[in-house]
Amino acid sequence: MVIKRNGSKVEFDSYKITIAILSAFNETKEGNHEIAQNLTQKVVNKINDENMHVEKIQDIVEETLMQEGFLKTAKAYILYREEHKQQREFESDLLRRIAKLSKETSRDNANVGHSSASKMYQIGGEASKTYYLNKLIPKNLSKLHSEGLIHIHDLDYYDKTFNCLSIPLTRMLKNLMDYEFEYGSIRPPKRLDSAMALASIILQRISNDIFGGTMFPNIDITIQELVDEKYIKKPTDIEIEQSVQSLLYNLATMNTRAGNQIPFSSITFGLEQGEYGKKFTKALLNEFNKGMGKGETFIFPNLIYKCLKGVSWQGSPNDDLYNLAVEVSCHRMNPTFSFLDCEYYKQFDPKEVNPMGCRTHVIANINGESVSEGRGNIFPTTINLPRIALKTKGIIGEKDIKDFYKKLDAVLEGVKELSMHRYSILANLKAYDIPYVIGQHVYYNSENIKMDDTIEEALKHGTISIGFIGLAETCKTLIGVHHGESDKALELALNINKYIKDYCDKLTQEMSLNWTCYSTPAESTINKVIKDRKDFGLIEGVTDRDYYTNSFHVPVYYPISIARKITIEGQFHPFNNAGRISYIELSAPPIHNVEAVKTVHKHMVQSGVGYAGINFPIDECRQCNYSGIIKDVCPKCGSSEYKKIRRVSGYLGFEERINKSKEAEINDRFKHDTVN
Amino acid sequence: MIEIAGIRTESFEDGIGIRVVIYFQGCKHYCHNCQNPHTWDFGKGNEVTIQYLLNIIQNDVLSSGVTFSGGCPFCSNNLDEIIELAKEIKTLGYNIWVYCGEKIENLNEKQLKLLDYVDVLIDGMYVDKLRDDTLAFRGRSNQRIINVKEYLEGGNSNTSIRSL
Repeated sequence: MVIKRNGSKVEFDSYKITIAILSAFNETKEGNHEIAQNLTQKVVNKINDENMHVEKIQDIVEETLMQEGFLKTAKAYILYREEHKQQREFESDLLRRIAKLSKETSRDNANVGHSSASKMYQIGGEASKTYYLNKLIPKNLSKLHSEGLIHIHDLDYYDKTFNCLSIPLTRMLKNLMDYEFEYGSIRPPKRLDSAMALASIILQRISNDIFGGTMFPNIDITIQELVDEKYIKKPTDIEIEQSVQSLLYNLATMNTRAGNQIPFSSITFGLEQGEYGKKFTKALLNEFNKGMGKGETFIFPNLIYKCLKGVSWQGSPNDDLYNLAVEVSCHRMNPTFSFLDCEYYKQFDPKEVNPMGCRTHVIANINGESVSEGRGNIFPTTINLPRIALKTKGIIGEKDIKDFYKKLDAVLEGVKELSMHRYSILANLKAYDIPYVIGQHVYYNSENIKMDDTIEEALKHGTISIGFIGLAETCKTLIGVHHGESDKALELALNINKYIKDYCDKLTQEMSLNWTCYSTPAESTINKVIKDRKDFGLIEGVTDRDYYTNSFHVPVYYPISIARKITIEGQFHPFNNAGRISYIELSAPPIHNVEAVKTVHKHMVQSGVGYAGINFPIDECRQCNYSGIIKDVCPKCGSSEYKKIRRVSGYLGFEERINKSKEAEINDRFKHDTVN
Repeated sequence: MIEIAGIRTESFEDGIGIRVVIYFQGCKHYCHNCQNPHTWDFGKGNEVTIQYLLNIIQNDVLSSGVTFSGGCPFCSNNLDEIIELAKEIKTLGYNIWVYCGEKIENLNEKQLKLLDYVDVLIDGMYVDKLRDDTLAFRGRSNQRIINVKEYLEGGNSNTSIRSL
């Protein structure tokens, strides 16, 4: 009998040994079937125990091959054993993770719940990740991820689809019949309410084709154009209100991706000055402010208000809407604000600047027009900068900067290679792999792609991004201070950020693909910190917290004035052309103080901040739906049942659904407006 | 010299706009469950010059206003200096809000002098049981937000109270 690895016993079968030796011979050509049989006999003679463990038998095979002079074959046999061992380990590791997920879904993504569909989805994701890391991605590259030097975003979708899309809603609603669904087509809408209902269906369908977020850019311009060009009837005020309600409710409640999550949706608006665009904006803000059925804060969609000189500021045609947008943001944390007057945006048409709620924006295009609609990010890859700094020669606080850049170069090369590996696979997908977004020609320049063509002609208009986390911890490691506390560190931090941006620009020119530099929100960095802590020890200001600081942000725990934080962070905005956002933290909703928030906005514009949000806690009573700050009990009804809403990685979410790393970060956030 | 209990910059909660808040040391109201009892006793704060305070105000680049709080500015032993400070602050173009435990009707002649430089007065004692967290810029429902100019020009505290 033979004892297997799982402890069970099976009948001894000598032929299995012959087969194993033969497959090793196959590689080395040192022997044939007959020799293999002879060797098997020698092995069998050595087996003296009635019940022998399979590993012990394999040891004897190895030993026999060597004793008999088949050295190459012995080596091949050892390798074969090792590979099988790894295979078994990764399978059992996968099974362990599946078992864990079946009990409780992971909280890496604040938008994933605990339903059966979520479990099914995450288990599929785990299996995919294991496969990609062990089989598909070249070993030297997957090692960068496993070691923690880089983070491959949405690894579970590595070869399946791309990240996000700005939806060409105007074009689609005008020509809706051209975009067929699985079982047929839909006639274009003739009224605003049906247009908005169909917009939701379009967004849902698109979400199912991609792994990231979707956006309606310039929805106010879309509405005005549909009315002006008589695609839809002039809506009455009540119709506008009802259409907005239907849009908001749909985006807040519908499920995508096998029912496991609400789609990440964003809407940008603010530039349209025509009557119907303005009325729509006003209704959108008012309905968003009212909240859901019982007044609950809308978690989705994410609203982004666009501000532009001559349009939005005091004395301009849309200053009423800007004021209203600020008022709503003081209550609901959204909209966030995009400031189109900042220097970096001046080269673009303001209409084409549309950050999504997650901060990603896609503008410049080396392969075509620099437009937003129909394009998106393909995927980002993030560099764990603190780890590179920790590996740099020298002691903490006095590291060899030259050596840091040398090591950064090597990682950048790795990210480039990995990105090209991923991009090549995706570009070679067929249109039927992305059936709606490419198959139905939603994507930019996909008009001539047929169902069994590859998608490259469209995909090359997307962006490939290189992101980074922990610039603050990197400075701490290299020179002992971060850029919030020292000008020297600020200079170093700016140089490092610019270095990555320059590398992206260089690749864009060399490869004619849109490489962009991304400010990564650091949503699941806890594993990186824990690993770095294990490898390099507990280092103050570097590995002593359960998260790394978001991209170039001044650390959230660091006491600093609003003015200074914005002045510092604004200098980083131009480098991060794949998207970035700056936040300030308040201890309560500034609901009575719109003026204060407008002052902050002015300072942001002056400081070059292109996109910003103001964060504060929103507590919502589950009894009476009061929203504001709840200290133990609701100030309105006295109930102690309430939910905590916080902004994480660009999107709002309930605190109980947020992962440990982000929870630690939220608790550390320094509130600028508290007594110092 | 003026005795203060503390300073807060970039405040969002002590009046309209972003503000510098000066907490003066000393108070004679002794409200039940006061949030800042350490500001009651005179002589336990820090003595600072008017210029020191003006520097802090001007360095807070986002602030458009200054709020006097406490303690109670009207109880301060340094009321003359506080009036001088208010005058300087107004010259620099900032607006001034003041929190005061006394009702505006009960202020004496000297205390009223400070009002010449004050834009908004939030008056009334801290009455613990009248707590209302939904109010703007104040935590108790007996507190009133008074437009001082309108009040002094002959209106009364009722017509010049803005509801926020």
